[in-house]
Amino acid sequence: VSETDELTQRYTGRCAYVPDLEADGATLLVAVHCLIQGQYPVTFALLDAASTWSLLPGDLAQQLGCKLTTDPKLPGLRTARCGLIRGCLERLWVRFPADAGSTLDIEVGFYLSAAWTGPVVLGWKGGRENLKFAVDPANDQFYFAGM
Amino acid sequence: MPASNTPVIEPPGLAEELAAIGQLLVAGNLNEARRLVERLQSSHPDSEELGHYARLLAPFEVRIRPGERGRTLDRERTWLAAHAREYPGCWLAVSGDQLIAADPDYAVVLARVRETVGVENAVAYKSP
Repeated sequence: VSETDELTQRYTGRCAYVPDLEADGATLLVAVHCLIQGQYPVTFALLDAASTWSLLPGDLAQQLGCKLTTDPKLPGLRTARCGLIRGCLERLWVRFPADAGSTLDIEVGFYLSAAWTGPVVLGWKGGRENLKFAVDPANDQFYFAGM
Repeated sequence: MPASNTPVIEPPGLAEELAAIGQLLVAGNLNEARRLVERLQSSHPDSEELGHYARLLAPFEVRIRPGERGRTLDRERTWLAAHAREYPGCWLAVSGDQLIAADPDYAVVLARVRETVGVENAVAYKSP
């Protein structure tokens, strides 16, 4: 494999993202749209490489039928926005609808807590390891593929 | 999920091991947590909590939906980029370049979407 070939990555789909969404004094750098558990409406989620786990707002989780119980064996999760939150871990499907190529479904582990009142966050662990992605900031495009 | 109100009497040592699994999970050390769960399941095959963690840590799946695409959301993205900051702490539902609902309670916003444009014709965003 030549170095040129090695550096040429291939993806199965892409969609536009919202860059630099300003909110509450913070700038949310990359917001991608997705369906949680395949259920409409489409929801915007923050792609956050600084977050270990993915997070769902408690009210959205309840509407999706998730139980917001607290796992007593699971330590709290420290967050910048809501401080220490307690909850449980569950795996849910996340669908990235493609503007070009093919839509992709991935299973993602979410830390669910009624105390999380921030946006939907797609963190770094729990299934996201199976997502190869790239961001093209010149055109605000999010490229994705499964691994 | 360990949701029961019934006290669970665990074998000596298992409670500490479950706490260790929790620590590994929150730290994002999934491989180590997976190894520990697998090792403990052989000696505690009936533990519901270990079963929950084993299901949680099973290999995550990925599925391509060949040729399937979403609808264009250019107008919704443009609206959110321009206006989302005006509604801190609210769920927003937008359809095209129209705000359908803004409320801190997702259930309120979802109900309004269902009454109007329908869930397939709106996008939702939680403004921090």
